[in-house]
Amino acid sequence: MKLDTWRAGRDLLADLSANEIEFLESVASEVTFSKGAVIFEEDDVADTFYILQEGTVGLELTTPGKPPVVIQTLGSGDLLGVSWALPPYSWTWRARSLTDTTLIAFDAVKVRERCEVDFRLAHQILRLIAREAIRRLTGARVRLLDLYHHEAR
Amino acid sequence: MTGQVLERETFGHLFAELNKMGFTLIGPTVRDKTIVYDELHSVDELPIGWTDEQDGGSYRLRRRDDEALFGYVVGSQSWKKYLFPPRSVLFEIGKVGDALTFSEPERSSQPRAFIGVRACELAAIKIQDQVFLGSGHVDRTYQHNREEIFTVAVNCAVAGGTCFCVSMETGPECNAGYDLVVTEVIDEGIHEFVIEAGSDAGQKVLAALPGRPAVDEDQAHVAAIVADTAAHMGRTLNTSSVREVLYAGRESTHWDDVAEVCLACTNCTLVCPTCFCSTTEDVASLDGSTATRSRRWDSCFSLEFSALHGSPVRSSTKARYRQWMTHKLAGWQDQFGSSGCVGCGRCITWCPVGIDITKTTAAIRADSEVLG
Amino acid sequence: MTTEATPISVRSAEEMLPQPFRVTEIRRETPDTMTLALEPTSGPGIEYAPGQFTMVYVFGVGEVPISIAGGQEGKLMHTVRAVGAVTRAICALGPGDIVGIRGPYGTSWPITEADGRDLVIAAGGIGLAPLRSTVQYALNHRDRFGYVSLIYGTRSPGELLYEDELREWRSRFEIEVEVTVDRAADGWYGDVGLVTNLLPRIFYDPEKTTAMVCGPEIMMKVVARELGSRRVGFDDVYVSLERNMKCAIGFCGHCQYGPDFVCKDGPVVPYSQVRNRMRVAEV
Repeated sequence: MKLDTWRAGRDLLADLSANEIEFLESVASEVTFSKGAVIFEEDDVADTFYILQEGTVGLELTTPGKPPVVIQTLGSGDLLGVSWALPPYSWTWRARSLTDTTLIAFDAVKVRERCEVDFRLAHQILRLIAREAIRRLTGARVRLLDLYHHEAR
Repeated sequence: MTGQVLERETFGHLFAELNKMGFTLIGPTVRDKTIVYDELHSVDELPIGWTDEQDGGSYRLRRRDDEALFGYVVGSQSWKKYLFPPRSVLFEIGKVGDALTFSEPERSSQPRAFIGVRACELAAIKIQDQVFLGSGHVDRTYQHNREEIFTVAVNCAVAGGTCFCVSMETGPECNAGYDLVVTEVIDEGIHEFVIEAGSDAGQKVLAALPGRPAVDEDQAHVAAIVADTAAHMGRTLNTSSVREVLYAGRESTHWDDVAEVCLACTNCTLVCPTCFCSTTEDVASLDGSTATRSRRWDSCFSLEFSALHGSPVRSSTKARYRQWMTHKLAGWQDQFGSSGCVGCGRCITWCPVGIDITKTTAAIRADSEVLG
Repeated sequence: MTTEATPISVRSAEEMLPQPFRVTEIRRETPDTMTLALEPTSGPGIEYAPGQFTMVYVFGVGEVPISIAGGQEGKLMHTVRAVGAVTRAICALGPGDIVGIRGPYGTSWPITEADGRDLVIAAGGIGLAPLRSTVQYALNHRDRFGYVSLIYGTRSPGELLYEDELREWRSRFEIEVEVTVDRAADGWYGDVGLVTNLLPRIFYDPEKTTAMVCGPEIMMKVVARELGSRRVGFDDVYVSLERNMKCAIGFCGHCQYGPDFVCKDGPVVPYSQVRNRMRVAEV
C-alpha cells in the first residue's frame, strides 16, 4: 500500500526515511468496515494498527446497563491503536466504526519484529506513538476540567 | 515673565482677585488633624503654622516655629476628588411604557481656583488628563470638571518623609501646568511670596496684585528653597528599566512578603492622585419610571474588581498588590506613555501597615539582578 | 486654562450613552443560553466588525459586555448565557422589550487581513458566538480564502449553539464544519473529544493559515499550542480575551490584562502578544 495513495495521515510519517516508509508500505493494506462494525475488541490480541483514511471510529468501553460509552472518536488522518507497541500487546478499548470507514492496516507483529533489530525505526515509531498519546492525554485532561461548564471556568 | 513679590500682609489680595473673577477658591485647610482640600474664604483658613510629619503608616500634624501658610507637604486628599469625583452620574434613564430614553446628567458652569497645588499634583493632573482626555475616548465628567480651573501651584519648601518626587522627576519645582506658581520665603524677619505666571490668565491676575517686581535675589531664594527640598527627599525609587524589572519579576517571592502584611484595605488606591478605576451602580426609582447609572471609585484591591462569571481572576492579595504596583510603574508606561507614579508618597503614608512602593520595587529589582 | 492633553480621536461625544434597541426575537439555545435579535427603535443602529462587542443595559439592573454574534444594517444579534444578575435579566427579556446598547467596542477578528489565506476557526462552548459572523463572512466571500474550517467543541450535545445553522453551513459544502463534544450522550453519533482532536482531519497550509480561536482561556491556550506544534505561527493565531468590564472605553480599569485594556486593546489579540501572560496565574 503505497504512501502516495493515502488520502490522509501522511504527515504522521513525515520524519521517516525512504527505507522506513518502504518497509511500512510492505506491511500495509487497505481495509474497510461498515457502520457499527467492531475493528478490535477490549483485551483481544493487538496485532494490527491503523491509520484512518475516511469515516469515524469510536473508542468505547462497555458498562453494565448502558450502551457502550464513547470516550474519544478518531477521524481521518488519526492513528488508531497504541497498545500493540508494548506488552502485553492487548487492546484497552474497543474500536468501533461509527460510520463506514476506510483504514490502512499495518501488520503490527512484523513491525515489532523489525523494530527489535532496527532501532532507528523503533525510535521513529515510538516517537509517533508518544506524540499521539500525549495529544490525547492533554485532550482528556482538559476535558476533565469541564471547561465549558460556566462554574468551572 | 517677571515675577511679583507679595508680603504676607498683602497675600490676601490674591484670594480677593480670584474671588472677584468669579472663582470659587479651593485649597488646603486643617480638619480632623489632617490637611484636607476644601472651599476657602480667606487666607486665615490655610494651615497657618502647621506642618506634617510622614512615614510609612504614619501621619502627624506638628506646629512649626513660624507662621508659614504652605509649610506642609500633602495630606491624604488630592485634587482628584474634584476632577474625578468619588461619585458621578454617567447617564439617566427614563422609562415610559416599554420605551427607554437615555440622557447625560446636567452639568453647570463651576469656575474654580485650586490653591496650593504641589508639583507632584500637577504631574498627577497631567497624568489623569492623559487617561481621561488623551487616550482615544473623552470622559465627559472629567472634561467638564477640568474646564474653568485656575491653578495656583506652590513650590514645596519642605520634603515629606515619604516623598520621592525627585526620583519620579515630577518635582519639587513646579515647571508647567499652572496659571500661577507661588514660592513662600521665610527668612530672618522676611515672610513673602514670590509669584510667577505660567499662563496669560495667570499674568493678568499677577498684574492686578500689589507686589513689587521680583529681582535676581528673589529668584535665588526660590532656587535655593527648591534645591534644599530636593536634597531632603524621604524616599528614593530607582526608575531605571523599572518596567522591564517588574514584568520580569511577576513570579518574585517578594510579592508573597507584601501579601503577608497587606490588608487589601484599598487605602493606597484611594489616596493615589492618579488611580482612576471605578465601578458602576444602578438605582431605579420606586415607581420604576427613572433610573440612574453612576460610577464610584473602585480599587483593584477589592475582590469583586476582577470577578469574571462570579469568581475573581485575582483572588489572592499577592496578585492584587502585584497588579496595582505593576500597573502603576510598568503597565502605565505602555498604556499612557508615562509612569503612573508621581512620587507623592501618599500610598506609603496612608498604608495602615506601612507597605512601601519604593522598598518593594527595590526588592523585586534585587531579585531580578540575582536571577539575571 | 491649562489642560494640556488633547483628545487623539474623539468619537461621538455621546459614546457613553446607550441607544434604545427593541428585542424582536428571543430563542433558547441551551438550558442557560438565549439568542436575541435586536433592532434600534430609531436611528441607524450599530455597524460592527466581527469579534467586536457592545455594552447591553437592562433598565435598573445594569450593563454588561456581550460579543456581537451577528446582525446587519444596524441590527444586532447577541447570544447571552445567564450567569449573573444582568445576563439573567437579559435572558428573561421577551419580544418588544427595550434595552440600551452602546458600542461597538474593541478589536475585531483579522478577517479582511486574512485575504487569500486558509482559515481555521476554532470555537469552544459559547465562544462560537463571537465567531459566528466570521463564518458568515467567509461563506459570503468564499472565493477570497483557501481552505476554511470551523471546528467547534462543547460540553455535551445539548449545549451546541446554532444547531440549525451548523447543519446549513455543513450542507453547503463550502467550508469544513466539524463538531465534537466532551461527553457523548445517548443518540449522539458525532465526535467525542477535545476540539484539538479535530485538527488532524481539516485542511490548512500552516504557512498561510490564520486561526481564530474563542472559548475558555485554557481551551484557547491548548488550541494555540496545538496549532503551534503543527507549525502555525503564534502571530497568526488570534484569541479573544474576556475580563470584568464596566465602561468598555478604557476608564474603569477593570479589564486590565498586563499592559492591555481588554476593552480597547482587545478582545481579539494575537496569541503571541499574550502567550507569556497566559501562563502566569492571576494576572
